[in-house]
Amino acid sequence: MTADMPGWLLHTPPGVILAVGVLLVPFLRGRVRGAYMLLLPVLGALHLALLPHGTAGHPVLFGQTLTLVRVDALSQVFGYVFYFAAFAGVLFSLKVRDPMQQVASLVYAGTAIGAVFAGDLITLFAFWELTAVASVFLVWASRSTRAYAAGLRYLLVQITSGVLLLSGGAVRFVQTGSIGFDHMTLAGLGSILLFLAFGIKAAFPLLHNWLTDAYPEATPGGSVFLSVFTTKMAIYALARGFAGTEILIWIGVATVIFTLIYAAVENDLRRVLGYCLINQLGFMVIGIGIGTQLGIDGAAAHAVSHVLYKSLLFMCMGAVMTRTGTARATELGGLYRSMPWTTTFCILASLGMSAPLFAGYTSKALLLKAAADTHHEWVWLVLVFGAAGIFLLAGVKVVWYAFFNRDAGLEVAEAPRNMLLAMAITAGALLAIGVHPAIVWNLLPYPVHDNPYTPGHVLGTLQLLALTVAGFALLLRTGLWPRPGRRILLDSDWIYRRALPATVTAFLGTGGRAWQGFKEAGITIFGGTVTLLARHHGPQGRLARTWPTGSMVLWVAVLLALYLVLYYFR
Amino acid sequence: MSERRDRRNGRRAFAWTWAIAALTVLAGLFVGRRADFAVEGLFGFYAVAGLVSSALIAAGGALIARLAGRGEDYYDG
Repeated sequence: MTADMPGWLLHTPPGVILAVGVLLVPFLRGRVRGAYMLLLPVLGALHLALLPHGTAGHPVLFGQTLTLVRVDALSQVFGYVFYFAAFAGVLFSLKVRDPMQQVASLVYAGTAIGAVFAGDLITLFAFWELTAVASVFLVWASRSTRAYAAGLRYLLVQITSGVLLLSGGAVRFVQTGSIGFDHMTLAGLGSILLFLAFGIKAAFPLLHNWLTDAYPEATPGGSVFLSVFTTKMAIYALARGFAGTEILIWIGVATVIFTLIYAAVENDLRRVLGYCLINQLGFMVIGIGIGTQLGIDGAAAHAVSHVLYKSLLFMCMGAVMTRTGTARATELGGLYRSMPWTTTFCILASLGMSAPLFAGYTSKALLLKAAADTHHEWVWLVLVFGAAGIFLLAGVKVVWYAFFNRDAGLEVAEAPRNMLLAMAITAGALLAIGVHPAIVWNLLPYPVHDNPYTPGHVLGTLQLLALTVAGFALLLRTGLWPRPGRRILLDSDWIYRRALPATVTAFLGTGGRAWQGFKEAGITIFGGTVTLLARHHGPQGRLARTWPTGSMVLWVAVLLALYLVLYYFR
Repeated sequence: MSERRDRRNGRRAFAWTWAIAALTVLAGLFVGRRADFAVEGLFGFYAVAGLVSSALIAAGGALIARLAGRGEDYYDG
């Protein structure tokens, strides 16, 4: 089949069909525009399906041969789920009448897909930066002051990641003479810079706050796209470049733990989902850090599951935002009466994270097995507790406060049909993979021979989830569950939103005082000079007096005599 | 009226939740499992893990709210 493809298509990076094809969107209207936008991810996925494994697209830039296309099992599995998410995201946002948002969303998706097929660091850098620039428009599309400020902060962090990637690539080229994007160790400055670049977008602890800052400010459709691409692109990059790097295990463990605590008391439910998104990245990072075949398979499979259930959760919150104008727990409640379908899909998304028959259950089983096989008992325990915690927060808490709890008196309509359809397709995919995990497992880099549906494992998971819900119910009933309040939580963004500006202001204050002193000293010296000149050249100054002609003649005679004497001594 | 109905539904949901949880624990008496670690082999390990994780998250959340909670306009000033 690939033999029938035109040569240029074989050398075209996957994703470019989306990123370039979408430029026609502003010229189309109504249903034609919608149909065209839905068609683009389908065409892109077909293109990917027809590409053979191997490399293609080798232009020469600055004397370096690039590899625009590298197709293998790892890149392919990310590519397929990205195309699926792009299709579902377009369907969810179909009624949006904002060409800027529509173009930005597909350029973002297309460039993220391009990044996972990049075979060298220069190509990766180009796509990496394009995702940053395209995605910020999904935040700015909210057109509020808060969104504008959050978007600027987001862009700054994303561009920093790109600069680190470029610097790392340059240092690595000097050290190794190669621009190839392959497996590395944390042995030199170049690979450390690359690790940090990937770590920013993978939301490592302390580097994570751009996500919880910007994603809740995006448009409802924008946050669905944002929840998918940037972070999973970074997970792919870590799996490609740093598989088996042990520090990743501990970074993943820290990520899993701290995010749960923040998500417990956050009031904005989209921010709760943001923390939970980071939490699940921790699971993938642990798998990559373990680095065995099962660890990498588990991370990739969990990335697929995560794209599905997290985008479904963001769709549900997007639908709630669209209808009520808020995602704050303190302002929501009782929506199950007016939005029963959205409630159902949100419950399915919650189950999709960990419950048997859903995708999250099967991919977490691989990660747990990878930790157990390598005798990482504490890591395994963190994964078990993390699975319970994420189900509690992204699932039970979000569902409870948005759709049940007290009736907030919000009389709204059910979500629009296109949104419900997008949710239904995504929930269907979660269920299909859960029932038949081979759909994903057959795409993974290494063969998987695990059976997640042993009676013991199923029952253990049911106990874990049931007692988590029961515990939440008990804590609520006894008033021990921390109630969401109208507050924000200080996080690592405090460093660049408060501490750094305060330091700069203080520094400028100190500098200002020094400058003031310098200016005063200058004025004193200048004033002294002027006074001195005035004393000698002023109206009363000795040098400004009108001298008599006779004394002038005398002084000329003295000078001439001096000159005559000097002449004789020459 | 609606408030009374909500309270009644809440009580029912609470009872059902605990009944299902108890059933899953009881089922553990009849279903064996291969344990990767000794702790996993203990009866009711997953049930305890679920309860403990809820409690730890609630405690951690309350602590972080006290330490890091600020007014919504904290960054606006």
